[in-house]
Amino acid sequence: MAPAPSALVPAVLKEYGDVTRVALCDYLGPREPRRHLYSLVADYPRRGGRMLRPSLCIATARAFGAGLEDAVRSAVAIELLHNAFLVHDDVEDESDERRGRPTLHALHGVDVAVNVGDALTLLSIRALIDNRKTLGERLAMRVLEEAERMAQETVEGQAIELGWRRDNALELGESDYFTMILKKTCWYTTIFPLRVGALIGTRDRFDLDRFVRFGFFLGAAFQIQDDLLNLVGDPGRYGKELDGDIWEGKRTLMLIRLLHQATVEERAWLQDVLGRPRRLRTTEDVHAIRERMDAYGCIDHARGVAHGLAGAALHECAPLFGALPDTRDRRFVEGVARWVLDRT
Amino acid sequence: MMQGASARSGPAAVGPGLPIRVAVIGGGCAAVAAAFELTRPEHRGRYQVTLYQLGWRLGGKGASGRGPVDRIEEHGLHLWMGFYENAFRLVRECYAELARDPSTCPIADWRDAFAPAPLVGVVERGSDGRWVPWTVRLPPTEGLPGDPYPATARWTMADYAGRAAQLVRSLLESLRADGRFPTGQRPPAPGAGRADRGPDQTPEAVAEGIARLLRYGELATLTALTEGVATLATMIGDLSRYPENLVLRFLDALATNARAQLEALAEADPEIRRLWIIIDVTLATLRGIVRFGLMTDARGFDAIDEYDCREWLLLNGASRQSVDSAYMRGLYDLVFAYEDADPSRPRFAAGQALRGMVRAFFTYRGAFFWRMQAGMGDVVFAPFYQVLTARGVRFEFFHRLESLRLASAARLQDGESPHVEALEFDVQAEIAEGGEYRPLREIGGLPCWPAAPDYDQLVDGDRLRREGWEFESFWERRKAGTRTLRVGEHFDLVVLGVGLGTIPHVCRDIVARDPRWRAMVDHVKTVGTQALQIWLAADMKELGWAEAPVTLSGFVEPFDTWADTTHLLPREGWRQGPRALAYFCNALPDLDGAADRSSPEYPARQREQVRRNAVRFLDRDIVHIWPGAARREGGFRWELLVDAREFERAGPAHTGEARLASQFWTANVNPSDRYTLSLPGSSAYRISPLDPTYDNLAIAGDWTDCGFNAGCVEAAVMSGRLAAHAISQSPALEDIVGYDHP
Amino acid sequence: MGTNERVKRPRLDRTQPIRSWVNLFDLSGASGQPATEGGRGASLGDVISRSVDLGYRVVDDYIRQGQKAAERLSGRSYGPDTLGSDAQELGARMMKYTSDFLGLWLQLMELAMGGGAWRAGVPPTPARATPSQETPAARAAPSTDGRTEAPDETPVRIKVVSLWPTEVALDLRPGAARAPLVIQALRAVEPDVPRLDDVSFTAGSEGDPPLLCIRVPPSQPPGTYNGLLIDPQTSRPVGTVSVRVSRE
Repeated sequence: MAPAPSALVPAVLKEYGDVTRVALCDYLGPREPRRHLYSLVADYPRRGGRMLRPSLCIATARAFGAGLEDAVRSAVAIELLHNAFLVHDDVEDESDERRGRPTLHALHGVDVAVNVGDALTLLSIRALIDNRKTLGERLAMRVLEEAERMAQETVEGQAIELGWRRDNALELGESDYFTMILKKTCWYTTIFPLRVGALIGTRDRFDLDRFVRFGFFLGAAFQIQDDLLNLVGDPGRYGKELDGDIWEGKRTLMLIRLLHQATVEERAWLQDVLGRPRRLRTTEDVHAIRERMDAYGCIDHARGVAHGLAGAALHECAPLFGALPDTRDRRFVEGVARWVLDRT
Repeated sequence: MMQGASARSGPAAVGPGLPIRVAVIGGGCAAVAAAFELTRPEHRGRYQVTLYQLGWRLGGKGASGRGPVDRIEEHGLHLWMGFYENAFRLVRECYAELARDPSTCPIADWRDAFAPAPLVGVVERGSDGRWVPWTVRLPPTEGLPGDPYPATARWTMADYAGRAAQLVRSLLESLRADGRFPTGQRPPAPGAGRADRGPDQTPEAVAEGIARLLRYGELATLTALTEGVATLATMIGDLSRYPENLVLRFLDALATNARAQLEALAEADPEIRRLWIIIDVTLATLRGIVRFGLMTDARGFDAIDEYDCREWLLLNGASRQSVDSAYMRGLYDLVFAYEDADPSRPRFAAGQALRGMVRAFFTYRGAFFWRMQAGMGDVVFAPFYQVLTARGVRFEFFHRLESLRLASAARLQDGESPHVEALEFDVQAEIAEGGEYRPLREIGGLPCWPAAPDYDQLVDGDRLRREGWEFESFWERRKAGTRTLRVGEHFDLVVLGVGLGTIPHVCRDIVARDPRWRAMVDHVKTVGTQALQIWLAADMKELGWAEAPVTLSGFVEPFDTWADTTHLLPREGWRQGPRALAYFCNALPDLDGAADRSSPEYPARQREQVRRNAVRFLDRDIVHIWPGAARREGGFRWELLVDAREFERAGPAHTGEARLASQFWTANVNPSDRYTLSLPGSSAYRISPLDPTYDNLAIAGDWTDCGFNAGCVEAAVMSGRLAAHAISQSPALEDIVGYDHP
Repeated sequence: MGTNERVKRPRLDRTQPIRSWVNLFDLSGASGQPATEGGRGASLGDVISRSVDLGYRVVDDYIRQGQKAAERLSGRSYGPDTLGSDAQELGARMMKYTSDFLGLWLQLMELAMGGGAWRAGVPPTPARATPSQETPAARAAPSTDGRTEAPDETPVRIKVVSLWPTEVALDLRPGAARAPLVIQALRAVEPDVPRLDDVSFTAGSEGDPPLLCIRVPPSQPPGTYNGLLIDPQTSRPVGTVSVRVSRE
């Protein structure tokens, strides 16, 4: 049952990505009197990106029978929100690079970046409200409710993670990690796009909670793979600096496993390094942490867990999509579970 | 003759190679389920199914007929359990498709066919020699069996372990609440024993608390014990976080303390003793789950299948009294788990036993047991027959499979799989004018199967009736002719849904050539069963049973299980007479010559044996639970038995023991009627319906490796659905409830 | 009959039950274990399966509790008449979530809270002030200033003192103007641009509409300056002010 590399997923990502980008421009266009702000706002979305989230939304909606036009605006909203989170994340993580270019706050300063992030959020909301014209009042309202739920979950997840860094938390388990990931990443990366897609496609006749599991496993595999790439990815293609997560002290699955496996002395040392502000961490520190991760097999462990989660995602996908007509969109969603691990 | 095209959903599937002709052999739950799946409207007539069945009625081990006064005559006692999700789903779909008119038919909806039977129990023998029933009314649960499953339903070992811990906890709580028990004054240790792990309670802190508890022996009160179990229940959710030996020590301490506190009191107080037995068995189960690493074993419960269930519990610390208790015995009785029907050899594979228990107790919907409101043939097989016929399935009654022939190995082409080449049938009787046999008779508005064939529809029917041809008997060799079906000419694919006992006789080719099949027939065993039905002139209260109608097990052989089936009386044709009806069943040991066709008197010998068993049982044993059925000087009040024929003819009534002749009993000794056992170590030899070795054959039956490897309706239905999947990739495996399950 | 003509069973993807579903996916290379093999002991496969099992537990617990989360957010009617303001309220709440989070982060990083919050979907109504030299230009027509799209009208007076052409946009939640509000210094997008400090929002005295007063120093660079109106009782933003100073 070895998965064959599929060209379908990248092709669909490109197609729906392009459609979303074109529609996105409607919301990013130069407009008086905020032309200056808007050019900044358009920066991150214009840098590209995989467009996984909007594609999931559109594909799910179409797999359930809706048309492209019904889902596009919601896809745009998701992508705008994603970029808003990226902007803010970069500020909070003090990252220097995003998608191969300097981060927004590196270019223009923190305050600007914060404003731009807010503007992106607002535009996303406007796109969702504009759904009223295509989906009708009630369905548009439902999409907005979903967005509110998602925003709340994401923010709570971010707060959890931030709290860990602030408190230099070391006593973390995998279930803590999963809970945080579920809220912070999975909701807006997979669960929300799937739910909104199904909402639109079935006109709110589907029990959306059924997507939470599938979305969780998919998003978790995706996130862990992302974290892995941060350590072992190809710097030319990855788009952020390698080992950046270690620099930030981000509590990835690898770090949590390292904390589990470490000896008493190593934990004391980790506590010290992670407790310092980023600017006081040295390259030697980061390399040493990375070396310990390799020594304890944390990378392999995380890779295996990502595989297992992707497998669970596949398993959860079948009852959701299995009864639908065999369309390219359905095969795309089913293929994403494998693709999240194949991508680099 | 109708083709198998359904006019309901789109054009029929036609084209080269279509429709695919499927020969379904057998007419029990497995075969019928397979036929039902393959002919769903969604398939649009892709599969043309013909079902071959010996004798005059469908049902296999579930067949039933109508005898004198239209009384129901069953093979044995059939109880449907509330976790039979696949069986109920198919039955409900069948009834929905049947759309009977409730104004003319008394059983029009599936809820007319099945009713909850919540009172269950076992009988224990006290130290004074008296038999005391221990009954429990299991509470109804949400939903009905066969309902769609919610998205959050997922069965894992950890879930079951958690529920088991909760069960122990609630039993302990009920003991405390009862007030009969000193609860002790010492407060539980801080940190451990908290019912809910707070957000600041990391597993390390909980583990520390438990270690402290163990050091200071603070589980000595019932309160502390209860809290300890509550801690256990939360730990189970995250077991990998705790060092294994700590968990085991904790479990050990809980069990030891529970025993210390309860066992002594259990001696004197039967209520406490019963709770203690369940607690003991459950704690031993939990301990075993941890010790044997079942939480993470990919084989799930199968990992412990080499052990006998009681042996495994003993290994994990259960006491001998608990393991020998009526509770455990009743469990074994329900599945005839006695090797060679020997009551001194109880044997039940531990994995399947646990799987069955957790499904039965933790996943039942509606009620624990469900009773049928008429014979199983009437309630299940007649509706299916009608629906399948309407869908275009052809039924060939009076066809007994004699041999399933494989294509010879020499003639196989390169890369070709072994496959079935021919099916050889004995045609037991021919239908007059070459028509199709119409098997059902209407009784009280309900289509039913008769207890004997309709000879008028058969060629030479009078002679067959006179000569008393026993179409369902393995020893009946007479026939009207033979018929050989060839692959490609008459059929394309085969679903073999016969009973396991038949396999060595009809699959000689495969068994000879395929070591796995040989091993399967060697290791997966069956046991004969005996059943007794008596109609009584007094009601149960007069007979001395004061509680509600019950299903009681764990009694003494030869009839260790009794079900009160009085509710069936209105379905029979009595104008007056019986006020109670009772069904009994048990395993039946073989006599010499069991499987030997050359001893045709064997079934009669066994029937006589069962009669003697019945006499002895009624005279000596039943009086222990029906005190009102005894004569003052001892023995059974034979005049209580109601003779169906007394209403029909004149003449003196029988007296005494001879009155038994008017009742109904069977010795189920035909190979295909023998009950499938789950002996320790046998599961590994079962073969799955999905097994691809023979590229035009799928097997079906409760003896196959169907995910729930026990002899029951649910296993048979699952296997039938799996066979349909093997043929058509539908239903999806994820749709077969309980297949993907520890 | 040739073998190619004979009908055969289809090939099946799966022929075994999944008793511990982690082994469903082919862990090629990841753990070195074939798809359906199980085993006891502390192999990598076991450890991974524990992790994934944990994942299931986490999400299942979450789903069970998720009902409560959903209930927290729901419970209002969505008739067409309420839809207009509700959508906006939802949008504002959404904005608040992200802004609140930002606030947290900013607090942590010890930066002042900033950013503007446009009321979602409603372009602010500009109110032009005529340029004049040091003459307060009071707009006393409550019917056109600061008018919100909400059904009830909230008259607000706006006073602008500025040398330069200045547009003022005021968004205010319905009913908010009744209480005295706190207004923060208005800030531009660029951090090095000085803020507009001289702004105030005072409640009117008996019957007078509240007054929003903005003074633009002559040296103020052109640009757009934004700020929040905060209700001191709840410490929550109830409106925004946007001031655009141009040069021609």
